[in-house]
Amino acid sequence: MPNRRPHALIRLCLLAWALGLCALLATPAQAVPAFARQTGENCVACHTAFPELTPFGREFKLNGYTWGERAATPLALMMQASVTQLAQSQDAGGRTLMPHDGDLQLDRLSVFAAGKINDHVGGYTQWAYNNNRTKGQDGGTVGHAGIHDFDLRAVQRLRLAGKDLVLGLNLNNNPSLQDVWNSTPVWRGIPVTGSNLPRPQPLGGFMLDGALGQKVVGLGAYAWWDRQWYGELSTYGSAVNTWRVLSTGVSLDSMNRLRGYNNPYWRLAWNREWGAHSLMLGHYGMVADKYPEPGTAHGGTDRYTDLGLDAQYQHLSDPSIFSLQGSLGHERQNLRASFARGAASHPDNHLQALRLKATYLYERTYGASLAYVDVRGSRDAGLYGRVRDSATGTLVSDRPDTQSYVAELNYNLNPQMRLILQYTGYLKWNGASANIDGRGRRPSDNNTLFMGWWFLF
Amino acid sequence: MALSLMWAQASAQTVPGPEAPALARQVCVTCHGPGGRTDSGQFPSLAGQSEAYLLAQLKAYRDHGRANLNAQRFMWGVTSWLSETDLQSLATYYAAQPPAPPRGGGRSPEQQAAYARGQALFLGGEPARGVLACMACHGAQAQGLGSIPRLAGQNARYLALQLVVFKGHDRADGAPMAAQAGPLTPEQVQDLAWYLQAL
Repeated sequence: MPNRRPHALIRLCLLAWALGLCALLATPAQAVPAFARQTGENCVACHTAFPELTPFGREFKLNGYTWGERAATPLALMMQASVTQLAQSQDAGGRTLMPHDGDLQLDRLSVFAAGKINDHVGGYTQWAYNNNRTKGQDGGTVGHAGIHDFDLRAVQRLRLAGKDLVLGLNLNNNPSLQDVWNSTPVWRGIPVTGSNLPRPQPLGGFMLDGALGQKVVGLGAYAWWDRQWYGELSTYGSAVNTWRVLSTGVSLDSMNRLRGYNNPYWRLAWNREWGAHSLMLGHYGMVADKYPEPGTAHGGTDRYTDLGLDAQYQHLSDPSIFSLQGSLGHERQNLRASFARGAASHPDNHLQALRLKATYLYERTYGASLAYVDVRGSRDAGLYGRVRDSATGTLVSDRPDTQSYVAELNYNLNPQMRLILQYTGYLKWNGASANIDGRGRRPSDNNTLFMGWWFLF
Repeated sequence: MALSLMWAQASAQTVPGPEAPALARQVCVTCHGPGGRTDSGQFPSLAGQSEAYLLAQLKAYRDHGRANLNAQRFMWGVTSWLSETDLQSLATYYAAQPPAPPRGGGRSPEQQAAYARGQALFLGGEPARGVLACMACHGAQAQGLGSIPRLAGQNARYLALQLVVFKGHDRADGAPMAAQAGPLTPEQVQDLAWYLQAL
């Protein structure tokens, strides 16, 4: 069955409904998310362009979300709707690559429970219904409900060598979810939010770039000294059995499984704030032993070693806010188990990625950002397939190299609402600058135009 | 040994020491800088400010008497969960800190001219337009007195912003200043701000 498109009248009604909701909610912020209700602060005290954190927001998170008064109903809601257009939605064979191309979609509904439990314990969790998780049999999409984020902290504030020290324990379900700078995998926001329609995706993802999110449990300890030095050591394992609630919604049959609960993640950062300026230089890393086949937890494992250098600069003033984030990541893949099973052509591979992002926000209302991502890695036909020209049979690529950029304009009607116009472009796709599927498709044919509405209340 | 001594000190001081309220070190510092001295043009330096003025302003934030946009964004929330003791403790602490040093060295000829115009306005006012000499209330060195705030060394951007706030009548206690700031031209606001931050 071909891609289904709602009747034009229905689309018009949906658009009118979305704009009407915008108008209804675009009132001075009284109904604000749970943390804002707890602290009494406006959202802009903690965030620049949500979810990027200000120095105040970082302190709030590192102090376990415990500032303020405990709210009677620590709940918040988030809703996202969008329209996505793929540059070429069909391949050379006439196959539709993305359902709902150009259709208005109610993408995701989320519920947050967030806030302090007492003066030393706080956290948040997000549960989401994703309307477009996978392609359906009928050419449409299939929805999915489950946990998204879980971040629970216990903190103690001390003095060490005459300086303030915050010691914390953290339990989470995604490595780097606990981080407070926006240059680490979970929060680097390239893009912050984009289309969730199932569509062609480049290969070459790092272990830390989502492969473990909502599938693991991590317990860690951190220290934040003199508002200058941050150190953290956590250890991760699969969120099964006792910890299954942290992977709710993820099928055990498709879950990436780690060996044991001793897969370490670490983080070091130096931070400095002066005047309107804020600078962070940091390092993060993880070593994870993962079973090669999703859903299985026996036999040999592959070892992934992710190392990253990251930096963030913010200039926070009024009316302008400017921020820069950059990260350089390297992943060493010891694929001993996959190689033995024939799923990888080489026992040792690597990936590296450069990510840069610049954001400008005027009067906390008008935002623009530009990001660039360059992923490169070793060739491996077993992992990435071997694309050959359909006419000549010559090899096109067996590499994961992808170069892309994301340009975004956004309009924040109030701190709880954002309108987004975003363009994602590809300069190289899975090792090829042209003919990426062997049948003439170009990298730019996968470019996407995304227009989104984001409500948080 | 050194580590164990440091750890012992850390363990012993779970309650912040008397040299600074924990709130100042852990919360206020993110915007107002260590010791209440910041180069930010968005947030004021608090060090050396008059204690009575600080206390009055903290209460004005808590009671929503100061209602300009940044007051609502940043200060209404944080003061809503502070006790009277907290407010007094913060006012006492910041008043006792050494003020921020003068700013704006190495001035261009244009900036020197602006400084001179700002100085003349501060010391003599502009009687023809009903603008009183600022020094009459704020002191000859803009050092403040009682509930009248210190202006010396404050960031020029912040000072200019506050004069605009007074013009908009967004401060409950600002009627006298609204009358003074009202006739000021944008150029005079900049001249005054430039002069005061260099004091």
